Amino acid sequence: MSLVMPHNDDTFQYNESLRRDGTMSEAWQSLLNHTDSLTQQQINARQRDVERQLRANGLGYHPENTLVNGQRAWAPDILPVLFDSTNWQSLSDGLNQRSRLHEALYRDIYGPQALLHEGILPAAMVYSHSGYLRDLVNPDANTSATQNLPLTLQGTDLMRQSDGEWLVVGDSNQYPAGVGYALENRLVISRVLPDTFKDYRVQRIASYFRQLQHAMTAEFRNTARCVLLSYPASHPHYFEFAWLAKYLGYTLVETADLTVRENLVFIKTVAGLQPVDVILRFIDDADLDPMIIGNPGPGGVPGLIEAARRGGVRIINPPGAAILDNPAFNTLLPTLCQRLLNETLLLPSQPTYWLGDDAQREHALAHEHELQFRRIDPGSPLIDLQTLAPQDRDVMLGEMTLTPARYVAQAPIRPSVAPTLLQQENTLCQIAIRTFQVKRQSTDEPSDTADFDTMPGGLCFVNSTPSTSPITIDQFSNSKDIWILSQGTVSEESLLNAYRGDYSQAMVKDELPSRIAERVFWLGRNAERVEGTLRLLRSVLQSILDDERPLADCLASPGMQALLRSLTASTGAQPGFIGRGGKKRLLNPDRELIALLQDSTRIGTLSNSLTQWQFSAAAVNDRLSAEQLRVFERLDNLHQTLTRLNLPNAFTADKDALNQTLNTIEDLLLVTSGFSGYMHENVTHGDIWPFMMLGKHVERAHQIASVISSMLSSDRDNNRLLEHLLRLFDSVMTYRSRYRSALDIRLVLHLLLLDDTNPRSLAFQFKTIDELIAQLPERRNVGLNDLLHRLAISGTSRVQLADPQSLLSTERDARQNLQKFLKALQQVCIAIADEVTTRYFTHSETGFELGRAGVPVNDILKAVNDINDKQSS
Amino acid sequence: MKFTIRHRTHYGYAAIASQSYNQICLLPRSTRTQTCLQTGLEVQPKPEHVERKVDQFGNEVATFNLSVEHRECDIIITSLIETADTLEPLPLSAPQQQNLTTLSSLHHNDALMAKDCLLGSPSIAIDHSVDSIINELPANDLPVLEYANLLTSHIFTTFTYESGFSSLVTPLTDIVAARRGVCQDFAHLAIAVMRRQGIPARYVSGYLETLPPPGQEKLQGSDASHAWFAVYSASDGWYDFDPTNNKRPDAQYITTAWGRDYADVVPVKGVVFGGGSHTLTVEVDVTRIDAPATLEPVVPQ
Repeated sequence: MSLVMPHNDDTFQYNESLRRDGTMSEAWQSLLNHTDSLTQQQINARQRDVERQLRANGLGYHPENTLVNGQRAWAPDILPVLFDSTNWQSLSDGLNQRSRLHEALYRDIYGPQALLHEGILPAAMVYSHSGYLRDLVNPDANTSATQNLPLTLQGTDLMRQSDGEWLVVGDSNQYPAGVGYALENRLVISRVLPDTFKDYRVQRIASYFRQLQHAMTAEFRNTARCVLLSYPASHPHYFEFAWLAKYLGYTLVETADLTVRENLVFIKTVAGLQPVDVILRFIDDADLDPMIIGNPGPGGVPGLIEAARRGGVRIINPPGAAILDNPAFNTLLPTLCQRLLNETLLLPSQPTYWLGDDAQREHALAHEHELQFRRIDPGSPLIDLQTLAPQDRDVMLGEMTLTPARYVAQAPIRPSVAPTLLQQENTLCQIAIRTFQVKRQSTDEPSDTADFDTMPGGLCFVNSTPSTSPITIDQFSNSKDIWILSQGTVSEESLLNAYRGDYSQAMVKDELPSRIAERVFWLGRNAERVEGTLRLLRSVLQSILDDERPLADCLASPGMQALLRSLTASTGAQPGFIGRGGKKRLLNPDRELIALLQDSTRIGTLSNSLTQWQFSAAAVNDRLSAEQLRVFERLDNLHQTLTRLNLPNAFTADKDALNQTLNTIEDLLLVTSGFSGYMHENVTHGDIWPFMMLGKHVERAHQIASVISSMLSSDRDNNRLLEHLLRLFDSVMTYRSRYRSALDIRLVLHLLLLDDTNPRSLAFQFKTIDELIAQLPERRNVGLNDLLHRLAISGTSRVQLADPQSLLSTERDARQNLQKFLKALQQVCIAIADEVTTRYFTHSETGFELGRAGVPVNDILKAVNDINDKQSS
Repeated sequence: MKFTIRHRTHYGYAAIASQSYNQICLLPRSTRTQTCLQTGLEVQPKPEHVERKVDQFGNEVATFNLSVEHRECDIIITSLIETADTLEPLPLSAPQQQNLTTLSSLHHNDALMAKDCLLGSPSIAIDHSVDSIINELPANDLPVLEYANLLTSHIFTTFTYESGFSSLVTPLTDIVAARRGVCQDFAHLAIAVMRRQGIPARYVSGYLETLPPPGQEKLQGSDASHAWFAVYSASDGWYDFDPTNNKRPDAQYITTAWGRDYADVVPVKGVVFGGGSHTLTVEVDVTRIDAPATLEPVVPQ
């Protein structure tokens, strides 16, 4: 192992593993000895351990862009970074003071605004920041808006300079982004290095989460309903939110799940509106409420900010907290600390110059080459003017001249380094840390001067590319766990203990949001749709392979044509084999078949249904078991295999291509039925189960009716066709064991339509649908007039009362009767889906912004027309 | 002068709307030159509560929920306003630089708003879109109120009022390029120029009494909302200018609200759930009361 440290002054970086005298501390020494003693295989095995544990936590499957350069974003390094508790304590003191200072600043900015009126805080520093939430400001001094808005959580980013001094390089006051990753890293790494973890007496981070739960429900005498408000599943950090919600025991919601009525907040559930007391939000201020001044769209919960301001709901962290992330405040923190806390500022920030101040601007521009520039708004990157193309540099300098108050300049930092195993060998990599503070809840009455505590741990960012250059926080790509080594004993606190204690709110009955119910319903439908399409495609390809006749004869045969037509009838993929040009495509099906397999842009194709299915799974990620999520991981791989198959233009003539495709289809079918298996096991997931199963059986009933109807539309005395039907509905064995006879259309149809002991029959589907409807929420006191009840009865009774003679005989009339019968049942399926949607999911409809009345009238009408045009186009 | 103002906003929905959330910024405020004697808000269907609050700039804002199914929504605001009969003469003001220096040592509410009104705002960015207009004006060393007067008449004489030319989202560059727009555009344009020149300027929304052509009767609902701008002189406060009509707002002008730009004082905004496509109709009546009169009965809130 080499830990050679360059001693050239320009590139000197503080080494976390060395003492002042240059020797390595014992803890680091033995940690590195331990990992050094591991063989390459052992290291690989532990890396796989990490991956496996992440999957076991349901964190492995994220369809969206969680892979950065082929690696999971923030994949943790096996090696933690170690800090001793004494040094950590003094850092914590500084961090806690910063949090108290931020809280006092928040109270003043959205309260009496004394700092603005005294001229201590320059008006432009506050007003120029996009996080200044004007909707919260109320000059009416009688009602202090901030009383209802306690600042509770902070995230603070730090880097250590070469002299060993920590500097704050960023604040996250809206929500502690990354806290889920910190928790995840801890769970994984402590299991990968269990002995070391125990020997080192690493301080537990569970206390942070317990305190967070405390802070959420402080002042609520009885149980309070808490929700975790996140971005939708398409957000790259969605799984962090889902994971945190699971861990904390809060219902995961999106803004579409919430509604404000008379300044109170409710969650829209399948059982109606349920009140919400506390919202732990992981979305930006700007996305909370469409009524916010200057907000362009209808996203968010209308009226949420006003409800919070009036105390109808507690939002943590409160809206408007983004203003505190303003890096320009760094220039005033020592003064503000004196003024607001009467204390000396303990923890310095990255050297910062605010361009809204004439003297600082002059200095910054004179030292342009030593500094980096950024907008003060959250998420703005630091830019090195020297690296910009001359014209871009001029543009930026121009903007800084026009609106100087919106910019700061900051001195870049060369952060400390720590031993890292990411490259599978020991290297020194640059690190930064994100720490998390939470307000301490005293048991007494809440006071204005509540202290904060820092999580003994956090998220360590690692720059996996070895470098000695200064770096900004957005350039880090991996993570590490942070271990604070304690001197004494460690309390074996885990969050699971907290549940058993006085945290009755964790046991509050989890109401199912309408949106989740809808997506779960579609998860069931899509699963069935995919399976049906797979079976049809398998039958088509298998029949072509098995057919000994010339290909043209095979394609022209009634059996093959019926199969292809059912494929179109059941998937709805256009243009397909029905209607205009259908006949031509029946004889040259290659292009159409390839599209059905691989074209994800066309609705109804296998690839498209798979995508839809994967999407509906991702959207309810937090409701699925780890096994189910693993199904989707496999599905993802197979889907990619499918779309990468190199299918020739003359696909149906190419036996290799057909075989290859069939193999993938078989694999997909295996995975799909695996999912169905898990569906049955997950009764513990309670509320969602009947919705998922109902989706599945409604879809299957519809599929049986539409496939049989189109298979038998022209020709019904064809044995090959009957065989196809039995195979499509997985009933070959059942038929043989039951009838022991040659294929007879009447028996086949009886088995597939009317035999309610065959799980693939139409009768079975309706029987199950009826049972499932009875299990939906709020079904106890429904009367006989209830539409859903009537629809369920109409489905089952139609099948039960069907006269076999009139449907199944070979008479011409019977054929028409059968078509009518199937058509009617397809309509019942659609009606049931519609009624379930109206009854349980309508709450999930999205809002539209009303046309704004402007001046004068004519313009308003034009504006409204513009908006309508946009919406209709 | 005394006026009654009736401002009706009507939304019609193609389908049933299940819920809507609305915010109204149409309740006139009392100012240095006008007194709001009475104001009432009536909404159909009737919401359970109408909440009122005072916003950051002292404007009165009302919010309400409609959680019953509805196919239309009617919002009527009726106000009784008395405006000052005489127009205060413009005081002497300092040139831009000196005005700013004086402002920098002031921290009261008016001054804080003035500092806010030097910066960019949701609809008015500080950029080069109005540079061409600035180049047409004399050098910015005049007293700020004089400069505002000059800009007011410059916009009036070199821009054409064209109803329907712009929408709420037309950028200022289009207005400048076409030399056309409506009152809101001209107010935004003037504010943009003033701020680029380092002079605090704000947006004022309100009404203007219109008189029918001689011999004709005034049509009901024919009045309209109006908008203009105001400039801050650090020694004396805010003064209004109307570039659409090239005059200083007088007794015929009624102020509703002010903000950095239109986005701060949107008269009616909201979000509706369901409802399909919708239509919006606005009717405004500004009626002068010659003899002392009482207001039509209004629903107390």
